[in-house]
Amino acid sequence: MPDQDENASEPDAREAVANLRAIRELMERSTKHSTFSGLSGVLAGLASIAGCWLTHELQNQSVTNQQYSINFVLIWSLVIIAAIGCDYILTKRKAALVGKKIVSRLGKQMVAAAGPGLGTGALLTLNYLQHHMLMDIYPMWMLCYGCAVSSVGLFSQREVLYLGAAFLFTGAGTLAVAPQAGLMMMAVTFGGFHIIYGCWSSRRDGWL
Amino acid sequence: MNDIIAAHPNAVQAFEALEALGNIDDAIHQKARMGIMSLLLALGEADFKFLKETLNLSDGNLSTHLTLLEDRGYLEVQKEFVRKKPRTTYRPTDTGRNAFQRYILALERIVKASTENVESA
Repeated sequence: MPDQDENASEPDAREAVANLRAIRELMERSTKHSTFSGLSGVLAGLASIAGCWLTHELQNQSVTNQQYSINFVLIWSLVIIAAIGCDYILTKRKAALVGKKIVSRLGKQMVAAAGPGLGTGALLTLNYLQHHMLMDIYPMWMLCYGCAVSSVGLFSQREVLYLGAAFLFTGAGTLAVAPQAGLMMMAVTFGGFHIIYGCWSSRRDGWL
Repeated sequence: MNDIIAAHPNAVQAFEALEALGNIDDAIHQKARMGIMSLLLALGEADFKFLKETLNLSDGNLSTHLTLLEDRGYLEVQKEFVRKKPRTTYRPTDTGRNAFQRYILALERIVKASTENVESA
């Protein structure tokens, strides 16, 4: 954006282009103002760690494939419900505090952006479930979630992009190097990364 | 007028550019105020802290620009207490929205006139 003094001179074409560009960039940047609650990130992380611990306990029990699958789906369904539920309540509260609505144009864009990544993760889970391969699903979840978060990051703060990239790199690394450590890496990523991001976000914007 | 246009093929673009320049609103045509209006039109509203951090302006500087825009009737101000802390929120008025749209149109006309001028040269 060019500097202009108080008695702004008439713009030439180049300056007009620069001003139009600056206006567009500012409008785009402004839509990235977050209503994300840091506490919801921490709670989602804790829910994920609890899910990992319960899954670890499940793995140590002698159960049939069918029982394992049912319990596995139950555990992670509860984790997702807890995480999304906390996020919804806290984000709604924060949005109200800053005078915004949780269902906004930006919110819808974010949901649409996350859709393909999360949808792919759900389809892969169904496929792994059918073939009793759920113990190998974790790197796929990290990759699909990383894709979803990276897509959301395009509409949000730069740090969300970094979070998505962290999931993608860790997911790819786990898949390539240590797929057997998938559950532990789930605790590190879905647990640790969410807690770190939530704490960082809270430190900047407050806990609620 | 028609004689001038006939004699100078670029005269139409030049007249359009001049007309557009006449529509440049000095209240908006300034770096900080253009930024304030851009943010407020994109968001619908914003508080003082957000504007200050996003535009990287000092308290005094931002206040001066906000006051000018408010005096022109481009903004409306709401002061309230949120969790015992004062919070000042700014919203664009219909006058402000219209003025900003006219400003954008004027910039676009200047660019268009310049482009046509280059193409016909």
